Amino acid sequence: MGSVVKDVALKEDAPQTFLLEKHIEYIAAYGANKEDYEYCMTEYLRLSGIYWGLTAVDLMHSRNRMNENEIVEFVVSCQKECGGFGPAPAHDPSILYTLSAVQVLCMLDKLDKIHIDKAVAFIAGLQNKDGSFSGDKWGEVDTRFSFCAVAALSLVGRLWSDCPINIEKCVEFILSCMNFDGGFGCRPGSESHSGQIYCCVGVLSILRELHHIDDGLLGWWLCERQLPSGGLNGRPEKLPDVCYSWWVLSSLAILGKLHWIDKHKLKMFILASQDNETGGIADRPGDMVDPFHTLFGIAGLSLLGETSLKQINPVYCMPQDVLNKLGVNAQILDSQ
Amino acid sequence: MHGRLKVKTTAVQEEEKRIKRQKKLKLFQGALAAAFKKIHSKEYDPEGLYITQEILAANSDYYTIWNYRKNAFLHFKNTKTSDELLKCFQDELSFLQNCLKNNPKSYSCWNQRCFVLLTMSDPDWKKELQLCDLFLQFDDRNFHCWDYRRFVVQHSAVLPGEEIQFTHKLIENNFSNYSSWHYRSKLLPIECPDASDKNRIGEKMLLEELELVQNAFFTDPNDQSAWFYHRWLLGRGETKQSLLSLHVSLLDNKLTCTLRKPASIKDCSRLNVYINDNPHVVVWKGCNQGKYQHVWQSDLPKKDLFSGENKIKVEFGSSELMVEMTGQDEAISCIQTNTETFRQSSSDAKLSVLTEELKSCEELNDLEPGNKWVMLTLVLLMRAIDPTHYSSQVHDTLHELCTVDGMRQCYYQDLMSKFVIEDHIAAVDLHQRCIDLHGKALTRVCRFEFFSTITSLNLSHNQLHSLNSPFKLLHCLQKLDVSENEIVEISGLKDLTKLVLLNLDSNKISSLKTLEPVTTCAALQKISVKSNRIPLEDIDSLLQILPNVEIVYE
Ligand SMILES: [Zn+2]
Repeated sequence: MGSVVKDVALKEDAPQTFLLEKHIEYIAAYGANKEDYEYCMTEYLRLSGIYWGLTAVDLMHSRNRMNENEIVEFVVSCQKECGGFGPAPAHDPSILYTLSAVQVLCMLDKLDKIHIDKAVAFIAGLQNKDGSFSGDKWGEVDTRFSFCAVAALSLVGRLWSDCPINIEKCVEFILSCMNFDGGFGCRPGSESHSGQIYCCVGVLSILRELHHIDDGLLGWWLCERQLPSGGLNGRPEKLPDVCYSWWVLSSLAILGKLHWIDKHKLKMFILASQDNETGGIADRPGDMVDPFHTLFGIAGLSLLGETSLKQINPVYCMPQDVLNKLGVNAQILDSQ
Repeated sequence: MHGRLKVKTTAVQEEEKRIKRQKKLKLFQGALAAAFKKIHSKEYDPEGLYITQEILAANSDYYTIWNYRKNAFLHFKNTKTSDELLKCFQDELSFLQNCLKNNPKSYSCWNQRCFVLLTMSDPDWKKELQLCDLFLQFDDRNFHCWDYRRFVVQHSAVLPGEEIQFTHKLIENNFSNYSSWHYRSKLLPIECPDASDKNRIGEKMLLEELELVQNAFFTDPNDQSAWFYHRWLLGRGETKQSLLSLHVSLLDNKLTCTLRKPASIKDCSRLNVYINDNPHVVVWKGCNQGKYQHVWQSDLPKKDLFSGENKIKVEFGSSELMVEMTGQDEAISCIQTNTETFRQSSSDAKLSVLTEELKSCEELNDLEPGNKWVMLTLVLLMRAIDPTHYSSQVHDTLHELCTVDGMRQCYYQDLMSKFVIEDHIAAVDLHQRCIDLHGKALTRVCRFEFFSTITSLNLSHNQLHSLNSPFKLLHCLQKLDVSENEIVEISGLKDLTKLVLLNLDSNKISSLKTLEPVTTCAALQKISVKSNRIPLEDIDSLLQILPNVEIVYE
């Protein structure tokens, strides 16, 4: 019994150059028609959608294509009495959209438009006794939420001075989610998953605690995500995907192991996942594009050195110049 | 957003689809408006439940709508009879099962199910476990369902042994099941813990497990799940924190300790200093930046030490180092390295077990020559058994892996570099303070904490790209030869205050900016930068910045 490697084949006529202009048009047009079916059906994650779109066009040096005032107004309207943000005004607050709100406003240099202290209190209120974070008042625990908390607090400058959370406990919880393969899952006992690994490595990076990670072991698991097509999967025996490619790639970058994969092959996989008619990037070649995969495709290309893009920060998935301006940085291991 | 194939359609089809979708959207948005009205007015009634069900059936990711239903159930707890309430919860569970059938990876649905189970009285946990069986039959890698299963197990006192049986069944069905192997890595240490380490498995169980995983990779040698699990089974011993070296300099009036693992200032409270057997209180300062560091320094009480003989001892836990000052300015003490220094970190399994595993893998290698998983496992086993004996075989196999698995060649090269450096450290006497690692095909450096007292380092004729953070640990370094590499940056040389001679010939340094760190090396006398890519005007500037340094550039 020989196992079949789950993978895709890149077609010869797939795009091989970066379609910068087309992607700018795609993102700028997305959401212009507020009656569009896809757009309306994804209202429950609107604020994250805005973060994906804004980050993508900013990386493409075209932030002016977005209506900044409209965005700020919308973000402000999503903050609730409790300080947290919903994805849209009528929706319930969650730590996921609270991070998106903070990221968007950092990029637009408009943090002063929201109640920061309230947002900070909302985040701090979601930390549990064991150091974990809930996503909202209903109590679901996930290491993604730890990342949202730590990233958002660091962006608003409340991690190192006047910090409202227990950092030691936070680290302890993340480490309790570490697995036999060196990776991390959603909760203690959960299987390693590259999205979750990105979140946990991100937390430890922001908190300068990366030495807890066995970078040789985890780096090996991560570089084994690359498939013959050049794309990366999120877990063993899964299909390659542009978004997982980003989470694996950024984790490798934080651990100083970006060179452990074949960068050129990954670049060709992302390029082949572009839609040369409509612009935008799909999860894999031949599929429908969306803003989520468009951002992570572009972010991946930036990390791989695409010169027509702004430099991306692998921890925050935001343009490096934005973080420089804020004076926010995280621990990145030297490439060894 | 995942796995939706783009299909070529005609303009007519496109228009038809658009009209159909507009209709659907209008209905959806109507329902949504009605639902938000209910949410806003906190109206929890059958109509509200009905509308929200319609919405969630169409789009189960609308978590705010699920939250309305949570609120409704909490409200019903005070307003309905227990029979009515039970019916409500049962309806919700069957509705959720339908939603999960359509969308088995919906965070919201699984989360709602947890809520229901935790909120209803007397939940039927057995039935939930059966539901997990069903969904895992459908997709044995669905991590949402696995997590839900662990939630059910936790709340219903299912024994670890029963769950081990369950994973066994799945693995027998299909060896290539990473989720099951993962679950076993969590369950086995609970069921059969090793006497000395609660995160590991006792020996009898370990042998059985090795047999199972061997079955898996003999059946399919390309099944990576089995290989990842195998690497874990053989274990990696935890490196204990200990002292590596002690350096005393009367010229600088400094005492410097280097630790095996990065330590925080808090950890330093366990570093005890004795001068002539008298405890001595010192203030520790990290040698570099960062919360956790290998090298820690403190000032010395100058006047006490200049006269007569002095013994300076440092303790950390059970490790201690001592130097005797008999009039000299400087003294060091390092641990004695040997082949055991790094072997433990490759595996903590017994030698007999490792030897058996090596035999099996050699057998498989004969059956399946060129299989990268077998080859890498052979390398790791040989390293764990006897690095010296297998030295050339390890080298050859890793070299071959670079071709067999070209996408990851840098991983194998870096691994080889690590082995070379470890073997060198194991073989030298660190008190000699000279390290020669030239011409070893090194692509990276590591373990430099062992070198913190050396004065001379030769790394010429390798394939190094950068001299970064590990070099910051070399606080005694006077002479560094890194000629004939591929170096593009030297940030790690910043503030190496003892560095006198630096040879950077034949590298890829391209500007004055890159050389900036050497301007912070206060003792520098000579730097050679022949055969690089530095423009002549940059050399001129460097000559001006470092007027007292001999700069060789052609
Ligand atoms: Zn994806």
